[in-house]
Amino acid sequence: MADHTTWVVVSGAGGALGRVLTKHYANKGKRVLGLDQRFDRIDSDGNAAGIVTRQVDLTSEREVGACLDEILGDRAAISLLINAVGRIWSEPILSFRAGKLVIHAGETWRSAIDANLTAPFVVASQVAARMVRRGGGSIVNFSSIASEGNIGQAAYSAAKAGIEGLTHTMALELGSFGIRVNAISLGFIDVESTRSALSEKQLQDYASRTPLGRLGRLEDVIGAIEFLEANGFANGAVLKIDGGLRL
Amino acid sequence: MDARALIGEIIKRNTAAYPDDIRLSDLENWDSLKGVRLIIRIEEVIGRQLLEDEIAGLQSIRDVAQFLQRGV
Repeated sequence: MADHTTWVVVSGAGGALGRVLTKHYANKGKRVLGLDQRFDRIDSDGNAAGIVTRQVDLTSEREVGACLDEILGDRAAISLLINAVGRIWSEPILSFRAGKLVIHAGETWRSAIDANLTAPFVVASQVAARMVRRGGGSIVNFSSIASEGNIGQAAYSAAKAGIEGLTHTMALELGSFGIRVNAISLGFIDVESTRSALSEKQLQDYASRTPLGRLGRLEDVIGAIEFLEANGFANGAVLKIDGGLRL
Repeated sequence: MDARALIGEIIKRNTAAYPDDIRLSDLENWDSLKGVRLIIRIEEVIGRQLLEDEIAGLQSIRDVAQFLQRGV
């Protein structure tokens, strides 16, 4: 019997944000497919009702496509892709360490671009190929305050700027197929990955510079995703969720 | 479904003046996204997903007509 189930796909489901989003949509009664390169901290939640998780190389079109085919079959549709895969990477273009001039390594550049731009592109394009055959859907990509440039984050900034270009182009190309592609551009959200990338002093500094006087919360991110999913005329938007930090 | 009607619906042009062997890429108003739309419409008509080699074989109006006539 054909499976006409509608799914929510979450890439980066093994990360702090992805885990919360996966559970959030499962708790709303959705079938959720969580994808990630690794699930270091997968726990009983990962096998909760309505959630299927798969560890795949998200930069591989073949692996992602095969995973979607395996889990979703021929008929199931994807109503929403939350494309949250990514990894903060900080490395200056040039630095002076231990008496040497150190240049940003090409290997770490490529790794950061793979994690933050190639992987989201692969997942979005593979999901889009399924959405066009099922009457459309909504894709939410993740950009960052760093897309406008951030000292010490050349690769991460370049990848996030790329995400915004990708979002605009996908919105242009896929809108006529009923696929809406938007992005949220996050400021500093109080999650584990932010805390491990920044010192407490830096976090307090960013909070104090934010007009709202605090870091973002997970519910702020969820609210933005739900808005972009629900608003049928939002397409190609990059929604800033940063408490006004960039004003 | 008639291939010319289907293609005409996609490119929003009357296809009567085109020869059978004209390549789809040479049709007025054709672009790669129209190609995607053609694949999706054919899949809707035949009720299944096209195979990669079937898609590769759809180069001209005649190819589309013959494919639809085979009724696969």
